[in-house]
Amino acid sequence: MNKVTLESIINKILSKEVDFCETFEEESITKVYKLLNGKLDKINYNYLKGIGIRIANNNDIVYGYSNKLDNNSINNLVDNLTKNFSDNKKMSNIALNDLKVYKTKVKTTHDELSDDKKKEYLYKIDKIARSYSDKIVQVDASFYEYDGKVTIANNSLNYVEDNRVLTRLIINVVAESNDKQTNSMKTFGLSGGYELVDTIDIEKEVTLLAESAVKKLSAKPCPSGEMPVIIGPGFGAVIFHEACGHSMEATTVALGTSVLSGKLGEKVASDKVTIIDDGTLNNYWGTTNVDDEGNQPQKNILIENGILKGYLIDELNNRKMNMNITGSGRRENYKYAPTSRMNNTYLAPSTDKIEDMIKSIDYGIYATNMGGGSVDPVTGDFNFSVNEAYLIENGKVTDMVLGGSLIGNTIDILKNVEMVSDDLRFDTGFCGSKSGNVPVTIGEPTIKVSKILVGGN
Amino acid sequence: MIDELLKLANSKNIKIEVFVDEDITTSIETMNDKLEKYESSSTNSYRIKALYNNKIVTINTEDISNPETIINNIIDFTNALDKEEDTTFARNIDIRNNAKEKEDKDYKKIINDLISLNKYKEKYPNIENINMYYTDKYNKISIVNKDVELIDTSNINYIYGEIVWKEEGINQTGWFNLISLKYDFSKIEEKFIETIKDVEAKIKAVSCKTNKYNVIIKNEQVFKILNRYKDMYDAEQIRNNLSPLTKDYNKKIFSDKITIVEDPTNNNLVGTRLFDMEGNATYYKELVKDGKFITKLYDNKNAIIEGKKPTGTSGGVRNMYIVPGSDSYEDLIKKMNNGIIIDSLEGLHAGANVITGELSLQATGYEVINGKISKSLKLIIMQTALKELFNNVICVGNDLEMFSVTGGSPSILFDNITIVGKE
Repeated sequence: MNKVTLESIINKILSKEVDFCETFEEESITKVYKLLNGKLDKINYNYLKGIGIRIANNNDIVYGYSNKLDNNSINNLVDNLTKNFSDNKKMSNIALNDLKVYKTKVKTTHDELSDDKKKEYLYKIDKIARSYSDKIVQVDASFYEYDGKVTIANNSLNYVEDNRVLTRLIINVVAESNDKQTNSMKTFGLSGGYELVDTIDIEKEVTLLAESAVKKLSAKPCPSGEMPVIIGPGFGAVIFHEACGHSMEATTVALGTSVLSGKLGEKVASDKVTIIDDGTLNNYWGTTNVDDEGNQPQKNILIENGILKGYLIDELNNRKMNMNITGSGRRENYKYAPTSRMNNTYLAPSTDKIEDMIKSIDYGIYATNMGGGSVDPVTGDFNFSVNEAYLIENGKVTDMVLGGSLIGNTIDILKNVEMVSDDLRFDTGFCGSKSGNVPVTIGEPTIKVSKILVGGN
Repeated sequence: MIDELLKLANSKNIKIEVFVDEDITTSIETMNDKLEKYESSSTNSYRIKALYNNKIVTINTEDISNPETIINNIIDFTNALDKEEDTTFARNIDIRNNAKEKEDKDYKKIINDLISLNKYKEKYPNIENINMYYTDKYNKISIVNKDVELIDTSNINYIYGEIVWKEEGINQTGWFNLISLKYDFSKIEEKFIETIKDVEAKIKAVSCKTNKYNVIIKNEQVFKILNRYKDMYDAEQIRNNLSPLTKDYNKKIFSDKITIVEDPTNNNLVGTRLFDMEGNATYYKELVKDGKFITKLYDNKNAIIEGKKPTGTSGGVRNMYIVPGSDSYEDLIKKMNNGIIIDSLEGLHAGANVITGELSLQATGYEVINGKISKSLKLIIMQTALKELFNNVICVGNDLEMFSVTGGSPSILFDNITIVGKE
């Protein structure tokens, strides 16, 4: 929609007793190239085009969306959304500022890499995995491409367009022996184009996945009970994403029900814990040029040396909390109202040595590869799964064990982070919450947690 | 627009079919005694299935105003795909007319109903927050190709309620889901009261001793597991070694007390559909009968590959459930005598492996001693595997309830399941 149309929609809404109005237009293409059985099996294509309109008066909020973009449909949507607001106009009409245009830095666009080249790369993954062992029975590898344009306009005169490009590679290797199946999975992603493949040592990564899947076929059951655990770098950060990240989002903090509500300035974690959410990291998977409310992302220090320093605040929760907006308003697409969400969340590195972590444990687990998890931000009870793990016995890493899950409570676990190494690594994922699934990066160096409940047999 | 697309496709020798999905949704969120958010939406989306040069392409789009772009994409994608395949397209099927209009709802009454639940704060002063979500979803689907136009509609009411209880500085959450064809506040209130009692008990929850236990998994939690594994019967997943049932067709996989059916034509259930996403008539079927895996699911393409008939499940199963037994939930507790009730399982997206069948899930529940609830439990882990779990069935309850359009489940009593706790 052009500027005049948007101004007319916003001004029509401002004729009611409202003090906030925002339009969010989105047009995007998502394409997934999926390799299965050594062949390009599917291309999934998804085209979205629609608008979301958010209106507020103090803390009364309405949200609506439609992909019927003709004048009549938009007028119906606006009428429906404003019908319960009185005619006591309280804000002046606006004229939007000039459009600010943002663009993800891309070296190799999705179109620049031909379909044949994409296929060649996927074939290579299949070949590397299957050549590792004849026990590899399936290689499921996909390229995910997102090209989207969002335009955000609001009565604070924010008027921005963001051209977003995301690229991701997902590899899942399945091994089988004697009717037992195992799998190992890894993802790589960035906010950018096919320069992604230049950042991956594909031979090494796929071989490691194949090796892990085959080794799991003869892995012992995971022990269970409360014990010390070393969590490897990268995706292991899901522990902080789940255990405390969600509890620092304004969605629950503003209600006063988050386990970390009202604890600013308090010691909530061990001295070893400094957690940062940074939406500005150059071309990271969870980075945005502007957030989904048109605000600049920023580096937010959430916990510093164990002290709770801040929360993630979006535009409307800032009203309830009277705290500065942190550029964290995010949504999956125009069908969701935005709320405060994480971008690239990581635990800052420290100086402890992994060898010392291992030596310090008589009996425990070394979780080298983690899966996803979930949390109840109100209670702080969380879980996350272990994809690959080894036993630690008498200060030495011994047998591989099958994955289980780790569960705990935010408050306990943050205090139980005993050692933090310097090998900070990042991994990519999608995080699901109130405003849908958004791309996030999580990062951590190897850590030792003094005790956590391990689910096993 | 669809006509133009069909004509253009025909002129390029592309066989094509459009699945149209129209949604009109109204959502209401209340927080305590206030309307927190009102949401309204109206969307159309299109799934275009095409067969060109012996390749199948599916395009999902929200805009069909430019048929040329769609056709060009179809041609480009078929050029890129490696596999030659075949599929079939919808033909006239003998269906009932189910093209209903959107039901009118009194949203003001619904808002007042949801806010009225705050009266329970007087009786239970530890209730900190009551957060209620109501969604009224009208859905119309149609399939259009050169031969047919099939239409089906549904009106579904969704309720999600969350209660936060605060006692001595500790927070506890309780929540419930309800899905129904008709809005019925008395059922919402009934579930709400049950949830209050549960959250009140959970505030004092502790962990348990790691051991093998007899376990009752409550109906909604059994359904979560069933739903997580809903694609494991799919013929393509099985053929590609991406299902825990890869080697199990026509074999006994579960206890003979387990029969799993898909019941998509039952008008009393919320997931009822006349036809699937490829226009095949839906029908009642047993997926697992007396523990034996007897029905693989086929869309049109995979039916041709394996020489079978499509099973009317393209787009996913509807109204899938475990056939209930005769014991009430209370009977299950009596039969268990000593053991654990699991009333919440979390983290299934990561802790339930859809390829290997491994299950390692955060749980809450109650310990039962001599047929009576002795204490509430939290921060425990249910550690098992799909086949192990459903082979260890003592009896299936009669409290079948539907929790989504995909289906539901009764509660089930299992034996010898590992529960990991801190003790």
